[in-house]
Amino acid sequence: MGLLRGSRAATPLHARSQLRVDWNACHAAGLCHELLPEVVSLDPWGYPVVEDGPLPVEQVRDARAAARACPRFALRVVEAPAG
Amino acid sequence: MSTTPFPRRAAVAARGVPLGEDVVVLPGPVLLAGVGDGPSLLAHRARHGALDAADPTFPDAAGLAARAAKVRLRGRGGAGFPLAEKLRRVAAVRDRPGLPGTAARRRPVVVVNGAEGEPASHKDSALLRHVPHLVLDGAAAAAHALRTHEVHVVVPGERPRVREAVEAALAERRDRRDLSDRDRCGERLTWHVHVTAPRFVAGQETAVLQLLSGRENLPVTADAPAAARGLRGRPTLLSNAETFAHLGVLALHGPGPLLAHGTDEEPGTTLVTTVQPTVPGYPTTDAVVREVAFGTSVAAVLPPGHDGYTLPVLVGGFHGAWLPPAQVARAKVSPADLARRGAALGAGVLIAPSARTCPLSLTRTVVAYLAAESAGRCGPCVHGLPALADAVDALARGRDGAAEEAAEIAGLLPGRGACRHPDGTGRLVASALDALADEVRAHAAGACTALRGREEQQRWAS
Repeated sequence: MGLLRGSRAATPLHARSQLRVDWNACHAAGLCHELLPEVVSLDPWGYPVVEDGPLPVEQVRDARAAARACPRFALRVVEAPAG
Repeated sequence: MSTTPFPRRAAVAARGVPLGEDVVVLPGPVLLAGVGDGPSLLAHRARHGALDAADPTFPDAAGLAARAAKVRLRGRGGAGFPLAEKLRRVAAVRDRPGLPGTAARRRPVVVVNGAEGEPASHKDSALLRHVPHLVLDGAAAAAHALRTHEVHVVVPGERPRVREAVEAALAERRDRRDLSDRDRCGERLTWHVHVTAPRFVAGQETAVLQLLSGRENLPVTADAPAAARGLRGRPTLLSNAETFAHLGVLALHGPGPLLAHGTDEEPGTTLVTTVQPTVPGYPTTDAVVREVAFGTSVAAVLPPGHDGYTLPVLVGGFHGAWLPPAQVARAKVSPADLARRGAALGAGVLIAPSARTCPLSLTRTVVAYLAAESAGRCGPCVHGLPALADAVDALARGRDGAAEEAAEIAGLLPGRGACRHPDGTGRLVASALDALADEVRAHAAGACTALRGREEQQRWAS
């Protein structure tokens, strides 16, 4: 068991989770920034600026909440970087 | 040797074919070898021979991919994705067992993208008007290799002659019952022609798929590449018209004719549109389309009168990057060489303003145009591009702090849209700030090097 836990810790479950914005759908409501300020900032026009790279593991839960909260369904948490 | 369909290098005539709207197409070594023959199917077959899917040596998807890999063929629409990889992906989705959907839903679709939304680019129009059957043979070969019958050809709405040429070519193939239209079992291909909305972003991959689906011809966010899930969810081989012309050569002749040109790392040829803006406000006048081998020096293909040693060149078109004179003199028509210099060949456009045209003012015109051409759907583009256009306008007027403002807005754009329109516009401005630094300084001091050029010219004349 200990070995298994150790290997899991080496590759966290959500290591490759990423936030994706559907830019057509986004209307700058800004809830993603309210719920996930560490990852999402806003540009001068109120649209999200998402940090590059995979989400920090401790942010994945909040990221899912932010995705659910988006009134335009414009935010998604995807498991692998899409091509 | 006299039977070879391709002229020797020295035999390529320098005489051009006018394309209307002052575009000239020069005969070339491979793709543009038949430019002087006229666009008829008879002339095409006389030069290239028949395309017969019933021939036992006719390549399947793996065979065609192998030929494309041999000449390292990359997509010629700007993104430069390896075509062999695209072909294999489409074939893999078709063949993969256990995927949802019936076999019919996984039957591939072939889409020839001749939309060419960029006003400065004329290479795809040149191909479709002068050697349409080479492009159509490439599409037919891809369809046969992928065991499908559905082929779509997308033509630009703002260039009606391209549509006329494609429809005439398809009618000719139909009337003459051309062998290329039949698969191994004698079943015929079905061709569909689509006309884009006349705008810059209409040729973008997702915008083309929207058009083919009967929706508005604008870019959307894609979850998966078209090769895996494209038109109506089917695996889709969507590529640029020039890419299909290369496929046509590969299907008709194999890799030999392309391997005879270029370098070991980058074999083959590419089409280049050179543009020399002479009239302020009109950045696309005097276009020339030519086919050049990879590795040719950029200076060798610049318009006559353009001094590549003292003047900058905009490489890659409206979404491209300015190269300063010192770089232009050494740059090659080569994706690898241009990447090292911070530029990309894109769709093969070289905009080379003369000494009388100010490159900074030209950038201002182009950025204003690109801002107006936003599809108006993605926030960062809708708001960012007009703000960027204002900043570049201020830059050209020499206002203090305009360069910092332009750089900041340009930095906000990459990766923040359904298509790459904001990315490309930001790249253009960032490169202008870097490569045209002298011109920016001159404008800040209330001067302009182009004006100086004009004064010098007047002095020589008197």
